[in-house]
Amino acid sequence: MKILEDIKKFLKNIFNKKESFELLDKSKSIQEKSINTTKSDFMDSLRQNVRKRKKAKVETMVCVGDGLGIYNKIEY
Amino acid sequence: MILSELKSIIEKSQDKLSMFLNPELILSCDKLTNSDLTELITTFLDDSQKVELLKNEEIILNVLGLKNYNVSNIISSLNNVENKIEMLSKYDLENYNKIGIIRSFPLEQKIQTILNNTYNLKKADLAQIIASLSIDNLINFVNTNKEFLNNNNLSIANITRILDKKSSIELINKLNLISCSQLEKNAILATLNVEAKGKINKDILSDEEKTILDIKIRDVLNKSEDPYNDGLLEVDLNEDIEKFKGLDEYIIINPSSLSKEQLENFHRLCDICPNMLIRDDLELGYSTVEEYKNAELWINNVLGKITDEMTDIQKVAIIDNEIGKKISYSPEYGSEAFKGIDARALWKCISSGYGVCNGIAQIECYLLGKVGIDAKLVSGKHHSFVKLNNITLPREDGSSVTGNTIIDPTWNLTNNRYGSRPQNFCLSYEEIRQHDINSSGMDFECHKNDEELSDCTITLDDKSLRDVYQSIGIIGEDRSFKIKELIDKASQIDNLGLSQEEAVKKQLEALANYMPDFATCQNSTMDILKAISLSQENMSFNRCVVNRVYNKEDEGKKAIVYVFLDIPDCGEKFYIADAETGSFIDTPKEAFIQKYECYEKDRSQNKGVRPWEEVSEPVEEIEDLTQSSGKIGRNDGDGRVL
Repeated sequence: MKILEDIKKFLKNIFNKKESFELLDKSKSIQEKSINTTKSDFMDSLRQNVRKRKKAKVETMVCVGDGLGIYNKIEY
Repeated sequence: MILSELKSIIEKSQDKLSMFLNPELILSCDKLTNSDLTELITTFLDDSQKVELLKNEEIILNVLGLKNYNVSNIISSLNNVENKIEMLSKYDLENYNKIGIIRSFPLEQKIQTILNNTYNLKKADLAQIIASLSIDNLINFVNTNKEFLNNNNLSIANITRILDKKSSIELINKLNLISCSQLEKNAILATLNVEAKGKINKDILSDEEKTILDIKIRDVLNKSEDPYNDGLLEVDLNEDIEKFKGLDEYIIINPSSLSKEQLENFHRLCDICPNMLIRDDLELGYSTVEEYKNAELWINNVLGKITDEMTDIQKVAIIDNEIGKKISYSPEYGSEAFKGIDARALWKCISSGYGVCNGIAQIECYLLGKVGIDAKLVSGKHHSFVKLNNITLPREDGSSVTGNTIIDPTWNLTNNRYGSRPQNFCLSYEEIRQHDINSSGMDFECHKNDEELSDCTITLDDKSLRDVYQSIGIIGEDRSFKIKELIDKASQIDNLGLSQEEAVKKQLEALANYMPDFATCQNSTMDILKAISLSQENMSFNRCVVNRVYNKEDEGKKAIVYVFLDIPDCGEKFYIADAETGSFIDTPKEAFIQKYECYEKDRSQNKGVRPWEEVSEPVEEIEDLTQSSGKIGRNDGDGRVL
């Protein structure tokens, strides 16, 4: 019985060689897809939950006479 | 149809008025002008027909298309004074058109109209009407209505100076009939019609009066000046100036380019005629003698800081810096409270401490001229500044370059007042044009003038600028401008971890401590609030407005800086820059609204809405960590893939 099973296993190995190669190939593709999906989900999860108050700009009048509201560089 | 044919048709018509009420035929006339139309009406219609026509304002103004001065001529041609008065009230005429009608009144009504000033006329308008009296009636009027003349600040010469040649000669022949002082007589003689001066019988005049009569009238025929100033006296500062005593009102003089001797005489003239006016090269306003004296004291003080050993660029830096510390930009500019004539007169600006661009640029040119530097006032789009010709600038490598450059004293006001690095000091045309473009990319073209400025090609580099400012003592060994103190202080406050409200209070206190005059240099303070005090890293508002308002009880509507904030978890806050206490006053909203108001222009620019009336929504944004320091994606050039 054991011999028969060994022969069956041997034949199956020969028979399944090609199939085994295809499966590996398929498996790699699935794995990549899975990684990409996980990365995308992770990025989206970051986007949707983090909110921050926007800094309001200081509003002043515009005056061409002294550049107020046009050119405002103050440095030391 | 030509005009002569039309006249013939109207003349033969049985119903002339209808021709004007239904003017198709009249308007079909070739090349019919408003003057022709006015002549047709005054010639062919009688009083009652003219009144009937004038009552139809729509036909007069819109169908016939007559202007106010045509209407004024038609009303003047009426014989009945009651009709004239009725029509005067019907039409909304300018004062000069009203004057023409009132001058045509019969004597009694004319005098009553003058004395009651029924139409709220100004001094010069009243003088025009009084001058239309016959000489005998005029003399009688001035002799019997002294109080009226005083109340309206009218001198007899204000009236007699506008008389024609014939009336002027008649007046001088009857001069002794006028009851007035010798100074008033002198004023009459000095300001007399220029043609009449040569025809007067001088035998009736005293020696002093003859001298006064010989004073020349300025030739202003080709100058676009106020028509009421056409009797101004020509002052020769090389002659005896004592004769101008009492003639202050008729003198406007420009002392900008006088020799040393002339200037000495001018200073004496200031004492002889303390109420004369002083004009400058810009001719956009007048300064008083008092303002001139005040300003010259300051000018002499500034010039006293300049020595012969200094280089030209050192002199320019001192003058630009001193102007910035003395003068503030007129904070009411553009509003209904702004008086343009006060903001451009050279000595008035210095004396008041306020001015606008061409006034301030003129001051800079005037002072630079005094130290021998070739400076010219130049204008861009709605803005004026200074071009320096043929000036030598030091360079970073120790060499120097000579050429033309640009300096903008008005755009340097904030820098000089608050002690920051001047940003508009000796720049090439190309560089200063970059300052015209705001953060949104809009080009205001303030310095755009290709024709006059394309030869401005040299710039003072940063190292050399600091060398110059260090050499004149404006910056010290560390080569930093004083504003560093405020910038550092603002940053310290920002890092204290205070609440937003507390942080704002501290920032405003720090600014007030740094610049005690902050409330009176309004525009510069707004600039600093925007650039430093309210723009710190940890500050966060729903809304932050820094602008100007006026106190409703202030007739002059002087501009006051305010800060309006909508602070998260705190609400709306108002701070008023108070000159009296030297602090920003935290003012409750209700009290602020009750006491202060926006200028009409500021409101209209914002569709009639005041800043604090707008609903400010809390502004939030989604922070995308994939684009921040916590990114998980790979960009080109990144060395790893997660």
